[in-house]
Amino acid sequence: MTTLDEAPCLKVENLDISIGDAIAVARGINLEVRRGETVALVGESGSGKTVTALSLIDLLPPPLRVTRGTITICGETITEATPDALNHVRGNRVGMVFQQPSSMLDPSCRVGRQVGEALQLHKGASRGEAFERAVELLREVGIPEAPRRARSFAHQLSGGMAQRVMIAAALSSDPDLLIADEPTTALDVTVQAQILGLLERERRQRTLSILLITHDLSIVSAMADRVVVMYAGGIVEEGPVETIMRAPQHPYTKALIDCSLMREAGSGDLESIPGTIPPPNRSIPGCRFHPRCPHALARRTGSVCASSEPEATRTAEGHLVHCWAVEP
Amino acid sequence: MSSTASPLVEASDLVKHFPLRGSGRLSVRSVDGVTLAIGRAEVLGLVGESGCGKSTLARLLINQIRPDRGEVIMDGRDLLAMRPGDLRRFRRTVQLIFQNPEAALDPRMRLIDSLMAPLAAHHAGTRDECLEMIHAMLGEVGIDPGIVQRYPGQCSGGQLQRIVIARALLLRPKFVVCDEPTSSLDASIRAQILNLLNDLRRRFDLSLLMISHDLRALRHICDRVAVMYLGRIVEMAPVEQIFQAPRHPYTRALNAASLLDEIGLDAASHLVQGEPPSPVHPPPGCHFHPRCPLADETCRQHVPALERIAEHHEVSCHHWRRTNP
Repeated sequence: MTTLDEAPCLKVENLDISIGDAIAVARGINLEVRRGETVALVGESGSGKTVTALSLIDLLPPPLRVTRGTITICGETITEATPDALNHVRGNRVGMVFQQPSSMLDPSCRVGRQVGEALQLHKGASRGEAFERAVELLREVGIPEAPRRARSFAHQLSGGMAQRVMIAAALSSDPDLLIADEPTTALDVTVQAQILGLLERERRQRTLSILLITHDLSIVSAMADRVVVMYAGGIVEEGPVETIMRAPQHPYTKALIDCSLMREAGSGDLESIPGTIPPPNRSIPGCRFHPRCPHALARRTGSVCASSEPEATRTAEGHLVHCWAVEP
Repeated sequence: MSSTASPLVEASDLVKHFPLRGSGRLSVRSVDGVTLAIGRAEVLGLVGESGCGKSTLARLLINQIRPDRGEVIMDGRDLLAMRPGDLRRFRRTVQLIFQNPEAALDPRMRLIDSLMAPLAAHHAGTRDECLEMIHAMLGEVGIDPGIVQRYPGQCSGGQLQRIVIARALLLRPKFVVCDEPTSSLDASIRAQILNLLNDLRRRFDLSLLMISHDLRALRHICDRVAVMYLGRIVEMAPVEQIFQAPRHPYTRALNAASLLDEIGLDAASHLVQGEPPSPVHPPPGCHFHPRCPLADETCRQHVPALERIAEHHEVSCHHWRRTNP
């Protein structure tokens, strides 16, 4: 497992991401993924988890951009890197798996070529070598008849197969960090377990670090070592998976777990969170969650929740909560 | 639960194949012999993976498309033999709620006009009467009447799904098909909508067909669940039976996949192999046999019948006795 003194594979400090200069979609993000560790970044849509993931390897589509903070991957500071250095990190250190494999694969290029492409670009492999290695990788990720499959096109593959191809491509350059953005959301439930099992196996074999972005808490408990919960562009709570799932401290995390349908069905109503997630262009003073927060402190008029943003409170080793109502 | 009174919807041996264009005699065998009944004020869940034919089955039940074979009896009347005038009256009594509320509402129509449309189409009353009905219904679904002057783009997904539900209930239907009503919603909103549907079905005595790929979402609201695989029903039972004592290997796999956190990744990923085959070339015998851990020669050759193994519990598997609950 992980050792604490080792430099983290990914370190994000005080990251702000904005649309242009005006609208902040992520604020004050601090994130760390250690070697061989799976960290889950959890939140509902609009929480800022995907833009955070995209910013890590400088893939934010304009007008989204990083306005503050530093990102370091395996010792290389992404936020100050030259284009060449950035390309080196992308090609050698990081692999990325997205939600929609079918729209991420090039429809006009045989999948074996795509899987081997990074080897040609970054590892100096010849076309033939890259293809051979691609076939090996496809076999490794569980694609039957890999040599034949390597010659097929993306549209000839099922969703699960296409996602396996994406994973093979992401692993081709033997990265240290894998960023997986909702890797199974577009897949059928019975295929989902197989793909997650594959990711877990690769993590163990390669001592890979995984940043897993998901909205599904049952995936989190099955996969993650640590959990980071985001709400409306900011981190509200982070800690070891057992602590977060069993004894969450932030009212939003509690509510999210309660309404996730993971608990045994009772006879009464399901727990739910009143109201909706605020859009990024609406400014909310104080804690972003306070208008929906069930805690008494947030309900009191003129309370601290409505006027100033809570700092992180450390309740236990590695467990941080951004809430005024939590005692250290 | 279903009472002894005659069911509201009865389908027997429904078959629907869609021919594949330009491929000679090949066709997509979406629904391949389905028999089921939905009781009055009963909620039946229909669960299965994408492409298994659940949406096609729902469209057959409300006569949106005609089956190649089989019949649908609704409220004692043969749906397929109805004349156009009767069909029009029948359509008042069935409604649909879709997965994506953004797509179910015209982006260029104010919400109030979208709500007014079904009332106008069925001549439900004067404009003032209709407005009154709409306002009353908005109260039922928990929407502030102030927002109905807006366009869909100005509302959140949760608000729009409430509007869609209100519109579906305005004509006081008896039977509502909900096709993945919460799949496009966030967890916190999903729980609100499930609570709302549960509440409304009691107050309006609705029969619901709840289509979903997520067994967990069904547990909260359904009386019974039918599990579908490649055009056929493989298991049908009261909801707690499906969760606690599923007998079909596919139901067990689905169950495990939705309980990842409880049973762990390793166990879940071994209960089923591979991916659903194409409905154009379904495997012979039991459709599930290539992925099934119990499959043997019998499964490869013979289609298992839907067998009644207990009161209200039907399974279509040669080996259901071997799957200990």
